[in-house]
Amino acid sequence: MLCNKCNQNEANVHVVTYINDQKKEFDLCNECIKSYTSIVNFEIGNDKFDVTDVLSGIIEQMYGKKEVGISRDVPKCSVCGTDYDEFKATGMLGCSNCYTIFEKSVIPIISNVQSGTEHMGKIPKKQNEDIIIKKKIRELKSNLQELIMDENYEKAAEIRDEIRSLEGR
Amino acid sequence: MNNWINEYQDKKEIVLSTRIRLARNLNDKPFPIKLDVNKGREISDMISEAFFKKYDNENFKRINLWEKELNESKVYADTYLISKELVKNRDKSSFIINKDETVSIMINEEDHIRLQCFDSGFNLKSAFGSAMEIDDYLEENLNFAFREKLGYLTSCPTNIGTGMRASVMIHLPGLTMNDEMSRVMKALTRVGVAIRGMHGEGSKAIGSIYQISNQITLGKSEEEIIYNLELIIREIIEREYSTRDKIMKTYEYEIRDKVKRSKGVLQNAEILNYKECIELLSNLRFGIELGIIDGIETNIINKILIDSESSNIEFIEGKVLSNNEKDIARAKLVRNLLNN
Repeated sequence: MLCNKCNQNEANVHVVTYINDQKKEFDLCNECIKSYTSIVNFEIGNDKFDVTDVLSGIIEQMYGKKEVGISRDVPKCSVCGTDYDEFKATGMLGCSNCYTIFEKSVIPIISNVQSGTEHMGKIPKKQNEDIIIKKKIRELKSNLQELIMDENYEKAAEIRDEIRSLEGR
Repeated sequence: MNNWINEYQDKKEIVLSTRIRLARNLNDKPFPIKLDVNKGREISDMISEAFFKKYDNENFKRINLWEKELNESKVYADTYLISKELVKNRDKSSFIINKDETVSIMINEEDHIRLQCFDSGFNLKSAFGSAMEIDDYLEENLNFAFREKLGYLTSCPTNIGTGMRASVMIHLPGLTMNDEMSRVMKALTRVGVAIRGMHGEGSKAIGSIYQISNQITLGKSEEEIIYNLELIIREIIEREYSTRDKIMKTYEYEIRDKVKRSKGVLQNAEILNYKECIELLSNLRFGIELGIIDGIETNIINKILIDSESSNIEFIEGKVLSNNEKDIARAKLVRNLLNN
């Protein structure tokens, strides 16, 4: 099978990417994989691929020629001093504030290497009470829908009241 | 939680150990990559102080790598208690460890905090429970970098969200002998699970020991990630067992021969290089798991696996050794452990 990108070399790696929950599959050759992949760590023959190489490859792939413009538009991070070129070269962020400064570039990378862009896990209790309540309400609402579908109205009414009391806080 | 090197294990258990690792960073502080020595050590002090407010000095100790010799730091890395990355940052990195060596909190690795909990065998849930307990306490006393949408913020976007990497070390000689590993690896990559050699990222598998871990950290809850990983590992274990049955049906004498010869070499060799030692050890472990070999516990095999690493050999011998000297010392160590 020929590589989907260069259409010249024999493809020997199968790549699956998830971008905004959309699954795409490619077959790529050794050369093209270097600049376009979401597989974080693997070996082909004796070539090892480092995660930072891969991430910077994705950044290049995402922005290609436009990157000069981005470099000019994005200011340095005021907390740690990381600039766009540095971020592009390593694929690493310098501090929590970098996630705000480089948001436009980081989100596409995240959706490329992760299974979604929304955190579904643990929330630190301190300073995040609002987020925890919001999450709880979301869960209850989805429960409520299931209960209504099952015609379990008695339990549904309880859940509805619980949602109201949480929303009233 | 049990220490996988010291505790007795069920002989049929092919999962050597379990690890849960959580990545956490302090809000509005530069990540370790951006910290100079002084700021790095300040952050190490800050995190350690928060930790030791609750956890006592009896059970836990803090080790600052900048106060240690490089060789000693490498021993910790070769015992899997800390990572090579932490040793690289040793001018500003430290770790906190408990007596049983089942908890290790690395400070200033790639992230400010890398909390690790280990258990022997296949015990993702128990290791996760212990990690959550310590994390709950730390988050009360430190401000972690967290966003509603992105979860815990990490230096590398591949760890963002839960910041959790759950992994097991597993012995798969059947699948390896039967040339099925490349198929398994391909299948795992498709479901967001990574499989690597024993030494983690970038390492080749030797001695049929693999590390299997979740690749994805954002978009699923910790419980979902663990549940999925558990299902996948169970499936791999099933396949390993059925492959072993198949191999034993066709090649019983060849396998028995291989196992016993390996035992013979390990018990008698005068010179053993690392790779040969690990491969022979895998054959011997295979024999114990299959019931061909009696009278050797798998924890002895685990101890040899760890102690035969180059830096550990030097540490045990108490001096720097040439490669040839290491191979001789390794053979002596293995003979002693297997013949007593």
